Amino acid sequence: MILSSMRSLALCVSLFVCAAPLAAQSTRVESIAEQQAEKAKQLGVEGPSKGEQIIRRVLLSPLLSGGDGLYPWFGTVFSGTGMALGAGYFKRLENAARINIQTGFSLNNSMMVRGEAAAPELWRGMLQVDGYAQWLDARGVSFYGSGPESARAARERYDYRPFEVNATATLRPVRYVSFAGGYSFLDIDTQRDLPRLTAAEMPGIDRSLTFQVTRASLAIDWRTSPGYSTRGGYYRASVERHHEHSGQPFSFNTREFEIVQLLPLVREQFVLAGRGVMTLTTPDGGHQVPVMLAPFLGSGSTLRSFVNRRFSDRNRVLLTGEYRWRPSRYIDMALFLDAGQVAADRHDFDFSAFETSWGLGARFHGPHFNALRIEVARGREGMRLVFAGSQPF
Amino acid sequence: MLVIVAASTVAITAQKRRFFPDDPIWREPITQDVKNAARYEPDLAYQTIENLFLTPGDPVLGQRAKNINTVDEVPDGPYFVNRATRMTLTPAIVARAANTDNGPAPGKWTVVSAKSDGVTPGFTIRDSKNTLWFIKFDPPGWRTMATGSEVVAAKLFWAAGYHTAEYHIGALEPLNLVIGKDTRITPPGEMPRPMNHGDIEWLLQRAVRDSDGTYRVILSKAAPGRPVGRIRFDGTRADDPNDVIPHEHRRELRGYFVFAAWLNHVDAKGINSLSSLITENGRSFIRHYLLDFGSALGSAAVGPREGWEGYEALVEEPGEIGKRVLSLGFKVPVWRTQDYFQSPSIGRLPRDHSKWDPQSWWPHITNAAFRHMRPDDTFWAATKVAAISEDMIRAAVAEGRFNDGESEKFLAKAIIDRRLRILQTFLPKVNPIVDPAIDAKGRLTFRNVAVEAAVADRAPGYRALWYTFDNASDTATLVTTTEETQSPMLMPAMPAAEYIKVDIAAVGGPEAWTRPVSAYFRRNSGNWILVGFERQP
Repeated sequence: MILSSMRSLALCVSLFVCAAPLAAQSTRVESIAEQQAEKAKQLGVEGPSKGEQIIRRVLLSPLLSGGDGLYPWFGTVFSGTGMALGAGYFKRLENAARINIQTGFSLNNSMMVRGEAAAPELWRGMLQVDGYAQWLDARGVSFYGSGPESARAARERYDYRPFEVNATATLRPVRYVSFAGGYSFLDIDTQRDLPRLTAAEMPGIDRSLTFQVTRASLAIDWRTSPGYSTRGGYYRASVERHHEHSGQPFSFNTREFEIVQLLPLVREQFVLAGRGVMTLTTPDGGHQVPVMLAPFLGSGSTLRSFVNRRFSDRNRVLLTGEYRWRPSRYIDMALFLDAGQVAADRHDFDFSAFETSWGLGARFHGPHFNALRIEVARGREGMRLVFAGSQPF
Repeated sequence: MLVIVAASTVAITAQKRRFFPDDPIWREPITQDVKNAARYEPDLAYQTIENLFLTPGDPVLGQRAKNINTVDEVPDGPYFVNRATRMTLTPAIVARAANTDNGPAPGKWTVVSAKSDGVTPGFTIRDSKNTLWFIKFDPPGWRTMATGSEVVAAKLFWAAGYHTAEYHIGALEPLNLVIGKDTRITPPGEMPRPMNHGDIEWLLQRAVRDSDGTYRVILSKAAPGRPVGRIRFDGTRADDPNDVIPHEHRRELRGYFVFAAWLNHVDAKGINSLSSLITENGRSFIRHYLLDFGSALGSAAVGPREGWEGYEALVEEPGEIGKRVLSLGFKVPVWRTQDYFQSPSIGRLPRDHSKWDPQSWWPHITNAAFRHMRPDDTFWAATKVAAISEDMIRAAVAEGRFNDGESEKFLAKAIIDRRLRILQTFLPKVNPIVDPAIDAKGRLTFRNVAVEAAVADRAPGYRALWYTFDNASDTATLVTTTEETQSPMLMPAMPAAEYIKVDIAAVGGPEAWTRPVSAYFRRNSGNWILVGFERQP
């Protein structure tokens, strides 16, 4: 294509205006006709350039176009196991039904295999049933002891291997509002190579646990998209029952409340964003909440300056505020402040003792999704760089 | 400065003639039969990437357009026909524009294909005379916006001189649709299958249904000939022997920027055009049409125009992004703070255009021709815009049939106000002298189009440098200099010569006006005929 252009350029050099070199012709039309006759001898085929062919074949293949078929996957296998790479297969079916299969491996040798399926929507999209099956092998999951006073140096590591089969029905009776109810069969196996904490200090560790999980939630979501939004709100209340099926003393209930509010200013040049999350667990009498299922703080979206799962206990509160500005339609910047605490009892929360993180972040996004989030967060235990594929909230 | 110009002009020593006997030509010659033009649909994603991040076309910017004739005008050709400034336009002519009939022939419409994805449906039909038509709808909640805007923009692009399709506002009666026996549809997530009436009902659910059961639509007639691709804005078509000017050096494609800015046609990219192989009088040639103006004026086709559209490209300038990052957001783009007029019938447009800067207008994706644009190209386009009167604009707007008096009035005013800003910006930017002539009384006459358009004050005076001109050697010899306060200027006594050259510049006034335009005249039966005209950028 470029060669063709250059050839034509050389051919015509100022054809109409500076046709002086063509003095052999007696008229302007003749001089142009000669140029056209010359080109007629060396015609090519109009078609894509090499570059366009590459774009067509590679970048716009199902791998990257978001269409049906194979696609590359990157993300996190499990919180704290680092960046993972993998592949997926996505297939759309009628009436919003779909199949999605993913597998990924992380840098620390963790692995995930997940298959999702959504049944066709019913009642004009008001009801959808979906489910997934997931097998996970998360290596080196951290635990620093329960409670807000835990020490970073007390880090214990364990391998976490859950297998879960889930089904969820979601009812959307009116716009923005959804009710969801679901059931999971959850089989968990954990293992430590070098135990330092006792089993009493790490409830549920080194055991095989089997849970029957039932859950229900009510949500109001008037953001423009769950993946990326500059306005609206999201309010959720959910309850969950983990029943240890094999009779071991690890059955518990969870209640979680979440509020997200996005306030756009100056036609969305600025967005003030706030989020509050409270998670409360209540074990059955004589039972405990296993560490791998206990609420925690410390991750790329909760107390961002702290390492993953830095604080863990039966209850947690997290408050986040962000000042976001939009230098581009594809890049958001944010100054953020996270504050949160875990507690054994909900009455133990002490706002004055909340751990805090603050920092600066850049988010690269599309109209409805976040592609990459890079943040620098600072707090009591130092500075942390966060890479993530999703919005913090 | 004039001395320097004169000296440099004399110094031209090329031993080649500048003018042919048939100069200036007003029709681009088509001398070759296009025999093997293949259909090539450029990839939109590649076009986007190429023009956002690369610079296709001639790397040397600042070159004069290469397809202009010797009097600095674009001859009629495959992209453009001289209408505004060269033919007598009236509001009625602009309102009719490319239309040759009143829409599809009476009778059933046979659906031959349908668009099943996107915000709005679309059909391709054949009328009872077997003419092919494309049907588009307004997005839900914005009745008349996309269809009306497309018609208005198409009429005005036609008046400017571009080839456009025929556009009609019409009503689709579902019962008038019949499905062709071979018509197939590919619903989302399904395999292609024969189309049925349930599909039509399903598609029409996404369109705005009027109280009488019909649907307002825009019908565009298929362009004559066989589609062979889209306009490209750089290089030439490899299979078109008549196409010898790299497109980035075609003035009408450079000037397209000005018209697109005027009408906020942010989607002015190759995909919204059509190259068609036409056979007339036994010879085949390619003609290029502008199409799909649904993202123009206050419409973004699937909704109202977004605030940034027209102010920023699809991807903003990296430097600007950096400044906004560092300012913590307090470097706010103007489009976020200005006041907008919004209505369902015309979409969304800035309420005040009096400070609008056409030079800072951005299409979604720029192109090589726009990058090569020079002030003489924008001046050329602005003279065309100046020739499209306010009454013609109102006539074009009326063709949009918005059925909303207030919005229609606002839209016409917005186009008129933007027209004024085009003239204010681009006419005075070069020496705005046009139409030089030597009349029967031996007087040099000319017009200052910026002054005529009331976008600049009169120059205190004009100076003319008179030369004899030897066409064979392309050499000018200065004879004398004259000055007058205005046109006409008396022609001094000149030595006998077949050609004379006159450099005309303002004395005083804007600096650009002191750069002379050069007019070349040839003696013909006792009269001086303009054969050449050059304007410095």
